[in-house]
Amino acid sequence: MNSKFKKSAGQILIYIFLIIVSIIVLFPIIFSIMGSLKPVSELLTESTFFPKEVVWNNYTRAFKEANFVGYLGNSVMYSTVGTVISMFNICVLGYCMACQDFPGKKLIRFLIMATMFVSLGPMTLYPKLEVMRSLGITGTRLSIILGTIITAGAEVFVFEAYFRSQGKEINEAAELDGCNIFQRFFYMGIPLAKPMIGTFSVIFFNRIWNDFFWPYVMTFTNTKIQQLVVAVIALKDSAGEAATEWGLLLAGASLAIIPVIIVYVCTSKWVIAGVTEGAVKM
Amino acid sequence: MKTGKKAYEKNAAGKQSHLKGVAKKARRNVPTYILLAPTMILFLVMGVYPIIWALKYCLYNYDGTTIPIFVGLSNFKKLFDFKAIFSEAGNPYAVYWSSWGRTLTYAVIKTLIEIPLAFFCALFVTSKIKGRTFFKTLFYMPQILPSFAIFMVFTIMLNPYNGILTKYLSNIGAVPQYYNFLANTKSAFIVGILADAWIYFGLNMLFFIAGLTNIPKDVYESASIDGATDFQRLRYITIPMMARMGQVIIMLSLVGCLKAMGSYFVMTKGGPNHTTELTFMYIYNLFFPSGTTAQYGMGAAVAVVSAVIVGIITAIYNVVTEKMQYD
Repeated sequence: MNSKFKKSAGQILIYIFLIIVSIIVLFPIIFSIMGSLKPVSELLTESTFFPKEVVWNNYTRAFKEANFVGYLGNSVMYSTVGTVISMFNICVLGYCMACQDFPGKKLIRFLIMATMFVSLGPMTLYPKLEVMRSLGITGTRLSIILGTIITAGAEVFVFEAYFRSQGKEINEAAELDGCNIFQRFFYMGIPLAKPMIGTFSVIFFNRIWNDFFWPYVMTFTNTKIQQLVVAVIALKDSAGEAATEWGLLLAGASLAIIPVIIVYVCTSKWVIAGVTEGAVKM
Repeated sequence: MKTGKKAYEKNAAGKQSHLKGVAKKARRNVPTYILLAPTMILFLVMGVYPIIWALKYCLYNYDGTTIPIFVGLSNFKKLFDFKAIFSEAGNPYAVYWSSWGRTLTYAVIKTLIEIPLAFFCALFVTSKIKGRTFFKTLFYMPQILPSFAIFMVFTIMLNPYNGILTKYLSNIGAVPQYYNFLANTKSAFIVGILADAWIYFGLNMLFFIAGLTNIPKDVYESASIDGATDFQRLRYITIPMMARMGQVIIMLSLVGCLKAMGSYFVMTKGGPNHTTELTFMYIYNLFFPSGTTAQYGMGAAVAVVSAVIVGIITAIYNVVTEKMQYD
């Protein structure tokens, strides 16, 4: 009896701990959504958590005056196109590294490792910007996509290991049957990697949706092509200390956060499995 | 002498035939190269070119508008001229070296907050309680949210006039009324760390979960048969078995912090008076300054030095973890 009581007391303590952490995690997210439903006057004067009066004014303003429809569209477009290109890049590199034996493979591997190891941080933004300038595409949507896509990284090695684990036999059989590398890659490699592509598409989509510095730097001159997160921060910068735009800012933040949460809730199993798998390989 | 020459010739011939073999192989693999070409072009331009650019322009004086002038190692000399840095007040490079101090402080404090939290969360969500998947999913969520939007929300919650957190904390007497968190050095620094820990503890939790599920179950079972309590099992099985994995996670967190710009980019912009400016933000400000002219040459030099420092620490980390795997 006593030990049972002790056990349930321990369980209650665990629950209390978990619930407190949950509240800390949820607080800013729900605050942002609640705040976006408050009228500006209440945001400026009151500091209650829940709105006293629910208004949609901030969202109508965001869509009508502040062009948030455009920003949201940009976010969706960059993330979708960027994910497809990134996925292609990673798959091609992973597949060729695993199933193809060609001169230069070691060099490519070395270059990928080198770029992973050398962390120049925000410095890399400027040379990329100069490249865009010399191509004459600064301030276009294309330049943002080219800068945010993932070209090569640790994911290449995850895919390489995956393709290698599928065995060489299928590949060799297809080669004997006269399939060229394009056919092998598009009709065998990609279908084989479908589960991996699913997981990493979600991760890449999320990463590009959240990407900040490159689009921020690229859109100094042309704010029309900003994505949602960048637009919100730019608006915050321009508003400065003035609190009158808070409603708009919180509406923008909520618009950027809510789709991510919806996608995450639907795909969390894969995302967590993908990250955990990476952790085990670490 | 003669034999030496012969050997050389033989060697050269061998090299030539080897080269021929490579060329033949390369010719056979033309389709592979065509398949790889678009990706490789993108990778070389976006991934490799910036490194080469940095290695070139760290030797130049370049501000983006005038023609770059070759100055040799003068950028590095300025950066390592500790005599001037210590004696002159307002030496611009003093901020760089103090930014490393801040980055290290940031790394240590953030790791101290984040790792125990992540460990206990991992421990509890892997125990047999109801709703563990829910908690696990929830705790990882901050990691996938757009962090800059969240930092903006934190800024609003912490504003001195009616920020909800300022109000709560002043109500319980932790801070004076209308306290401006982001204008005071210490509180701004801590708030930034807490905001970043809020984002990253979920990732570390997943790392710990991966480690915890690797501990063989029969160890626990035999311990329970022997009558070990939950606490004893934690103290004598879980923690010792997790020690090595825990060291890896801690070092990974520390190394990751070196590259952080943290939440400060949105919340404080590095202020007040550079006291929340981490190293990578210092580099950013050299390239994209507000008000002053950019210093691309100096920026490249600073970035190269920083990359070397981060590289050395990462290499030490790699060596140490590899050694631990062999032990």
